[in-house]
Amino acid sequence: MTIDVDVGMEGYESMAEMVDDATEKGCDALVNCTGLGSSKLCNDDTLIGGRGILLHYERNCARNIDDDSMEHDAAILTEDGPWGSSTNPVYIIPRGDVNVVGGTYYEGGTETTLTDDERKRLVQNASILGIDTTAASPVGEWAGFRPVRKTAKMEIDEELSVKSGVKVLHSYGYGGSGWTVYTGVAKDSVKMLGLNKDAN
Amino acid sequence: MPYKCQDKRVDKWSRETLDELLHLSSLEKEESDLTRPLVEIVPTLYLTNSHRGPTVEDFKYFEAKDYCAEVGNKKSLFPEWTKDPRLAFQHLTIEMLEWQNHVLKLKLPSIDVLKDAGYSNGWLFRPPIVDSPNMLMVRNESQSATCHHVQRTTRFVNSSFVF
Repeated sequence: MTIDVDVGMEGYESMAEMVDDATEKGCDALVNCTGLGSSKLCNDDTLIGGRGILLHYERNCARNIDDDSMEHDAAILTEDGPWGSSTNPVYIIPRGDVNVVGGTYYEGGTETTLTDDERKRLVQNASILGIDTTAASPVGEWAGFRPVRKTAKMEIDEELSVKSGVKVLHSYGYGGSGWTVYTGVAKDSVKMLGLNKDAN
Repeated sequence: MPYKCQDKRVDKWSRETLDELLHLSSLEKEESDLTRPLVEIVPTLYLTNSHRGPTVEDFKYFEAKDYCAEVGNKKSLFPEWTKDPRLAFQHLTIEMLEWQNHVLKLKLPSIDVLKDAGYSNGWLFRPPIVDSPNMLMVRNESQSATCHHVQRTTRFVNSSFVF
């Protein structure tokens, strides 16, 4: 059955509101994968933002690598000094049409834009990692928050499920690994919802 | 390479996701109309300023009970994901990296720059990199095509902009 899940509002204030909406629409299962939003939706104080920042350079931007025969893109990362650290990792990742240059990992950081100092540091990182920053300028920048938790949360919410009759599964807190684990997480989520169904 | 995700299930999840991403990557190779693939295998170098790998000392007291057919020495100093042969993981000195790069031709800082900075070793591997903005767009379009409506707005701030 196809269910219109467009609720015509900005977002949910609570899990109860989300479950009520799911019940109203006749859903039999609800997966809460709202990332950092779960800190408010679920009052989960253990979920915090790991702030990350990026600059984007064009994929074919000018490079400062002496040897022109080096023609293949590579990702380069380090969390070791002197260039990087665990809170200020240094990296370049070719991705689609851009080279992504980072970064930071600030637990609890809340700033939604880059500061001038951060921008300067990222330009410096770009230069170290092979972009000719005298000839190439950033084409974009980004700040975001990894949903960080002591352990990921992937479990059935028994209380909400019993109360509402809708199976509610929480699935969040995967840190900076969303694209690294998403298929495995989705498969386990389906299994957990299925097992729950069998159990009932 | 999981990053900042602490969970005992993360290796299993990563392996299953790698299955899918490599499958997508192989499918895309057959499609000629894509200017940039959604999933691209990108040689990746993780630099370290110390050895941080197994040495002869680590194998001095190697015991049979530590051996496992799939992964070799269970007491490996490397994370679990490094043992997946599809990632072609190598632990190299910077000199070994330089030799390999005569063939690989990767855009890397020169060996002198790396050495002067104090980087002595590196992990070289070949992970799939997801073009996440495009992947989300494609998935959203495919959802729309099956008549589902996906609400994309949120009241929680997650800044993303271009200047």
